[in-house]
Amino acid sequence: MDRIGKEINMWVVVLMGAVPLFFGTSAQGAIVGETGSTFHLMAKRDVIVTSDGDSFIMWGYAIRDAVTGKTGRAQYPGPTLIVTEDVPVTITLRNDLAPESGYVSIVFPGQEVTATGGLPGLLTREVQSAEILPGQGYEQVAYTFTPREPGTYIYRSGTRADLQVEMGLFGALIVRPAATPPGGDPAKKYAYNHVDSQYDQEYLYMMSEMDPRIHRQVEEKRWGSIDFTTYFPTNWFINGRNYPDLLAENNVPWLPTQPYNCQPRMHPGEKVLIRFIGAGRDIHPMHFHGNDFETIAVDGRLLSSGPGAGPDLAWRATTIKSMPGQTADLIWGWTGKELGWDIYGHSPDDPLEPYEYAPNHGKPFPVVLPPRDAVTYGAFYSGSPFLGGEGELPPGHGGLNANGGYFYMWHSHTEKELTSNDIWPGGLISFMIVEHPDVPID
Amino acid sequence: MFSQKMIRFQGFFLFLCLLSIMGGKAFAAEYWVWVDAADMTMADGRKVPVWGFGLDRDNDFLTTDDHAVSVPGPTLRVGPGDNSLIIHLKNNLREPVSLNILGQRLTNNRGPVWTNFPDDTKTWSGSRPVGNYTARVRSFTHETLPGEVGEYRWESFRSGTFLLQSGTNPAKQVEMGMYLPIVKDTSEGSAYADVSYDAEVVVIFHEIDPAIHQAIAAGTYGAVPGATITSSVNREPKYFLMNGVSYPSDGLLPINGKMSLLQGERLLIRFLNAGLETHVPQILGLYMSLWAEDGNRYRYAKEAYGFELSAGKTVDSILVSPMNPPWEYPLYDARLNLNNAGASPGGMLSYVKSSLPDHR
Repeated sequence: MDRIGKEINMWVVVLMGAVPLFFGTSAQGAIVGETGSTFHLMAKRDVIVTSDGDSFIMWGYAIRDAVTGKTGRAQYPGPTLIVTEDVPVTITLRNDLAPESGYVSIVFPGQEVTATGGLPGLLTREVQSAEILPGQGYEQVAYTFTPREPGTYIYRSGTRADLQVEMGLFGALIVRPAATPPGGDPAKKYAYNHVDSQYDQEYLYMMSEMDPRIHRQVEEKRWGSIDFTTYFPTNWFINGRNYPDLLAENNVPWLPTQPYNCQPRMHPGEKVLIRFIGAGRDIHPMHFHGNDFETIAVDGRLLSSGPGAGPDLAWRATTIKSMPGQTADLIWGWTGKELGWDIYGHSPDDPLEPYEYAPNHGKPFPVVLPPRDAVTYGAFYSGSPFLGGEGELPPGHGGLNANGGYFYMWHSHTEKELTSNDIWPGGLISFMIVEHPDVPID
Repeated sequence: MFSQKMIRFQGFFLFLCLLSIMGGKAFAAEYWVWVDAADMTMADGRKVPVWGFGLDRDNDFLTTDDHAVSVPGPTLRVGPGDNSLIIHLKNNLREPVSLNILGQRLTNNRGPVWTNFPDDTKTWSGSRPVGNYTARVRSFTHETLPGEVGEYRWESFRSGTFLLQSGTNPAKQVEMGMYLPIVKDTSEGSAYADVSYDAEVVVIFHEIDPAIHQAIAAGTYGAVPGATITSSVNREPKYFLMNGVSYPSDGLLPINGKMSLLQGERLLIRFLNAGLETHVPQILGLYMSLWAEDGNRYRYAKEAYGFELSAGKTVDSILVSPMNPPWEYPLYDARLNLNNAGASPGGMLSYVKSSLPDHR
């Protein structure tokens, strides 16, 4: 099965270039990452690719096997660390960068961290390159903390953070609740210790940007030329990839240092949790088409008027700015309510689908569609205006919507960020796909 | 000519007037403030020309012993019982200036001041001059001309944290450093209703583009003959400052100076952004309770380790140190403006310190 899938993809690569690579793959409705309470990381140098076909030197946190000492590839962003509330966490860090790259470290905003080993730095304890004084006890730093509240958090370099965050030393920290909240359903998922944080699908939106000049300067060791007062990014990333690469599956072999995708999918009526993180230094106004979301938490704290009140101070909006170093949890939903037609193409006698908007049941599509060959169809049109429907399309039209889902563009409203080094489309574009209830997700 | 009775009546009237003036004074905070040019030394030793405010403590503008100006200017305090703020402004610059407090109404405002563009030789106050469609507003509030003393009066002064800025050509005069914080508590030790504090620190984020400063000081900025920088459109700050200094200045190590915290004490941090860029103050190791924005108390505090502080904004937060002192919490710009003219480390990085009682 995998082999056939790969072969098909290879044909696509040969015939059509990179754009359709993502298609036909199924994204996962959960956030992938490293689960546990002890993590061993190594700061390493590697290369990422951008969707305009360029490649850049990066520094990333890699997973290190403490027993064998072997490390994986550096990642952009670093591994998503998934831990549990009230369970003590230990993260060790070593430094495989060249000595001239400097020391490295990690800070965990919102956590009370104890750092041991390594050497004192400005924000926390740091670790020098393994090439300097090996075996003297400076080669590892350990960070321990006990996450007291569930939620979405960020970790970033705390050493020359302007340069090191630009180079890729950051990642997401997700703290899952220790137990089902009071009144909750053990079969369901919750982001916080309150029933109003329930969700069905969750996705990471970790925003970052890049000024290619900085990476060239690092590559060419022109350290003295690096000047963040002239910072001018031209590449933008969600979870370390830009459009359209971010629609491909997690862990695809052609993006070995960018393992995480951003392809949200859901069924009508489900609650989608967006874990929204500003990892870089700029602010990105992300616009979630299709419906309002509710911001239920900021910086890993429910927006609450008091203990037990739940997210009663949540606010509704369609656009939210990613704040550097900060996190927000958004809950988004979609049922097709008031769309104006029966999205399932029911006749009035058919039974209702779950969460179907009853007043539109059996209501016909309100527009007479033009003849098949009279118009040009976008790549995401299935050929049918109905959810899960498929229709005939002219050759070369459509083709990127396997299940007849509804596509909603989720993108930055700083429109110049929808490019990769001035090539459109690229950068901060993603799509939520609303799938028919019968289409499996994950 | 006047009868004895009349004189007596006049005396009584004068007494009443005096009483009302004295009474008014008792309920007004009154300051004598200078604006003057100076040089400011950056962390890397570079001297940058600035225009700053200074406080004349003997209220006469005559003596010269206490006339140093600074950027930002001194923090002005309005007492909880003061209804009004009066500022007497002496202008030692060579161009008109004015004052404007964001979020407070200037009661005696005779502005805005319009000028004939581009000559800038003629002014009108109040409305646009009739029939003149090329006139431009130069000042939001009435101007104080070079060498003169102006009076600015805010009655019904609201409590909270506020930013005073120049109201004249702000792209130029605010860039040059004409801003200062003004604070008023609701009652002794309470910034707002039920927002009490044990210690307080004012933290102003601001930036400097030295090229613009130099052009302004040389008279080659703006719509002038021979201009080297015609506007601030390409502003590119090189220095990222907190309270006029950047890391590793002593003033940031720690930023709360002698106001260090004991475990459980409440530190009020009044954040202001007097610059032109958005900053994101972030603290490591604990959360802050955000209580107010632009002098408006929230109904419920927001718990966060950071927040958006856009240009011109003020945010008040309460920080309670949960740790046994001594402990230092880094407080910095999460937008990572952590350099001094490109040299790292530097910029907007400071520490909030908690100390043992005998080290306070």
